[in-house]
Amino acid sequence: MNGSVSLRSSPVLLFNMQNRTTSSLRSAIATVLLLVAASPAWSDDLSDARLRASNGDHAEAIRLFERHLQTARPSASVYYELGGAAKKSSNPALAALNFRRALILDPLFDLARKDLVETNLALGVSSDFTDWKTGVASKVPLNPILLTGVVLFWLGLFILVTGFHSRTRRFWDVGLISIGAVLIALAWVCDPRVNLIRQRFIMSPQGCEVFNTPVENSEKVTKLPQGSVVTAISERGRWIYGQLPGGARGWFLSEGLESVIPTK
Amino acid sequence: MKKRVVILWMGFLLAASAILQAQEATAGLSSPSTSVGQPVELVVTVRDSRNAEVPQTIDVAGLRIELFGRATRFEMNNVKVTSSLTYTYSVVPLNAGEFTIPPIEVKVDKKTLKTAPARLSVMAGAPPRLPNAPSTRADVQPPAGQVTPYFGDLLLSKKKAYVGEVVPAELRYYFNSRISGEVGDRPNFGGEGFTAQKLTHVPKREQIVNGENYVVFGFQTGITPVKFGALEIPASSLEARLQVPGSPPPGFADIFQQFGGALPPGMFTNSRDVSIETKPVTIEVVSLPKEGKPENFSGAIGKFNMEASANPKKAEPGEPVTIKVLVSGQGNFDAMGAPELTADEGWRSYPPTEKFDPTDAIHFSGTKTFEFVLIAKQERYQTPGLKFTYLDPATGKYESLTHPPFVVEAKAGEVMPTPSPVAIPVPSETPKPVMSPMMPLSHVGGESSWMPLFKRPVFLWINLYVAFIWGVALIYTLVKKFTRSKYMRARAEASRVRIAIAELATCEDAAFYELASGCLASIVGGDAEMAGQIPGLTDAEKEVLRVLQERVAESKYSSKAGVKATSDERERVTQVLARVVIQYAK
Repeated sequence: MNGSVSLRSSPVLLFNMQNRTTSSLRSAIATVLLLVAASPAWSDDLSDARLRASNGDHAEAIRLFERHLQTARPSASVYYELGGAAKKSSNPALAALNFRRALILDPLFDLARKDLVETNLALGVSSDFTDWKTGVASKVPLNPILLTGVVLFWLGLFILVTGFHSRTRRFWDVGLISIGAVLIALAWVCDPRVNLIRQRFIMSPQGCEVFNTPVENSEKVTKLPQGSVVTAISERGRWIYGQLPGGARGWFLSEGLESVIPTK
Repeated sequence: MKKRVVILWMGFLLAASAILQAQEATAGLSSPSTSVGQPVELVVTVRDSRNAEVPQTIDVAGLRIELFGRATRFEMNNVKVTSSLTYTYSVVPLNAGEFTIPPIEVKVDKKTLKTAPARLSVMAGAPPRLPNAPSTRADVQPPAGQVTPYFGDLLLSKKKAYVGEVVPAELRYYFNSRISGEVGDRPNFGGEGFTAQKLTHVPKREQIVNGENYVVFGFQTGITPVKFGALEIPASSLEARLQVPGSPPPGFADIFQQFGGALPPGMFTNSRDVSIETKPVTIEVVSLPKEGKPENFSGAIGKFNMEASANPKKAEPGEPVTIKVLVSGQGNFDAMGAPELTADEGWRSYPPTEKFDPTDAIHFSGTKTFEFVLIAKQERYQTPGLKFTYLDPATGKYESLTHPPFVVEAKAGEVMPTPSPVAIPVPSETPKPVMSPMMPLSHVGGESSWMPLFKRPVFLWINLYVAFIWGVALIYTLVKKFTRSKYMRARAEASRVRIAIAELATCEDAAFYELASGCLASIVGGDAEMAGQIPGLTDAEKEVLRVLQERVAESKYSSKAGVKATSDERERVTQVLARVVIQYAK
């Protein structure tokens, strides 16, 4: 047989193709089939979670929402519903974290913003929406901005090239390239998934103590309550050097902190 | 003289102690529960008194209570003197039920003391022993011989059990009421081959054992055997610090003997740390009977009842119907599974939620609630039925509790008020759970990835592809521009001239002048007439060029076509053309 394998021996071997071109195609088909096969499980967890939430079993709903999110693609809707279930089960910290995640995925999600403000009030922390980047993200859809910028940028570059060719310099080439570059930069800078990647959410009910130096018995700068958000600047073992909501900086331990953008 | 002072001093202490001690009367039952016809003892203790009046009988409907004994105790702990009177009543239950023995009035001197009311539970038939009932006197046997100051005992509700069955147990530590001291929080208890519930403390009580009054500290637990065979429950010990009788200082006893008396018991005590142990007990553990064992036996062992309800009675398409099942009784609630749904075709069911509400501290009795959520896949007019199977350890047989289906009106169909972001249609044979109208509306929109668009592979590949095309276009444009430059054009002309001159050397004589004229035109860029004006040429060279033009005209316009060049003329013309190339390039 010299390495050739009967296709009947095992369905797995269906993808053991000698032709590399077709093997890639078959791998892609297999991936799609696997995704299709797995999707009812996601759907079941999500449906179950919604059912539990509607019946008032919020603890179980939270568990099912979280299990769904571990395997499925993230969704602002599901994070919002998870936050809602956490809010109803008297877990405002978990609710605030998930409302934040919903807002990161969809900065135009006004309902999530309103609920986050309410939850933050319950936690006694301020809602930090004063940043201009957050303001831009909450008003304009960033992906269309990015795509428009990319199209204009390339269009300008192609006009520039054809300008060389035809010796007819046009106003458009440099103008389009500049406008495109600005739009791309704007979408890049304002995307919460970029500028909030270093945010850490304080989940610990005891809050988080901030120190002057990365030593536990050093002078304490302040203590942040549960629900506060800090921005990590650098990390040293268990210690994180970061910026506090007021702009001050200090060291704090990573225990009890949760990345606002999940790291999985 | 010295002895008399000591005696006077002792007398003063006794008198002062008698004054300072508060008189009180307490009442306690030897057992808080019994059965009809099984007597228990009611002990009334009057502290710090040598004489008291108590009623001979106590009137309680359903109970016959009569006084049958009286005892006096005189105790002396170091310098603390205690005297007490004990009155023992016989309590014979006549009927089953819950009884409250009212406060008993005790007249001491001119005062009237009242005991606290006591509660007695009387059951019909054999007396329950555990977990609610402490053992009777016959169960508890302190070591034979003289009165024991303390001892421990382990009481099990049964000596034979099934694997997985919960056996209520009580650890009891008896302390003679004459001694005082402190006991530890809880005993150390555990062993191999069984699991035990957390020990729970039973309120301290008094109990008469072999005519002696004991204070009993009890701890209840539930023991669950995990393997069959003989299971030994090992001894458990409770630490205590007791004030035990001690010896008087040297010569002290002589003082009493001089007056013809003996030293009162308990006058001198020593503090001693002791460890009170129960005796090991062996129980026989048997495996679950195979005969009649259902395939889907849930593991419940005990005695149970089942009640159920369904809500709502009318369900719209996609609306869930909840069946609530209450399983109550006594048994291993922690290990039992849910009841089984029978005839559930046409329904989609979800794993039930469970909640247990114990009525005792060891989780032996109580009610477990299961809630099944069902959604009709087809139009249905009744819910599935219910079946719960358990092993009754009293009979050793499997029992089944069933509940008929509930009448409901559940419509089939799916309601999707708002499409879910991840909702994927599935075949109708396996309908997925549908959202009820009460569910929160899903938000549509937003990203489906934590990775920004510009970091995603698709975006990067598309842009890379566009960049590649742009790069190709750029290179093409630059190459084209380069090839059209003056330099490249000059190079092309020079190449053409070189080829033309090379052709002159080999061409026919008749065609020589025509080719040479074309070559010259190429060198000067079109008009061969202009060749004479190229600077740097000598007159002779200009003359050669002029002759060349004449020969060409002659060939062209005369009737003698194709004027032939001599070899000398060819050589001269070729040399001059080479010179013209050089001069023109300058």
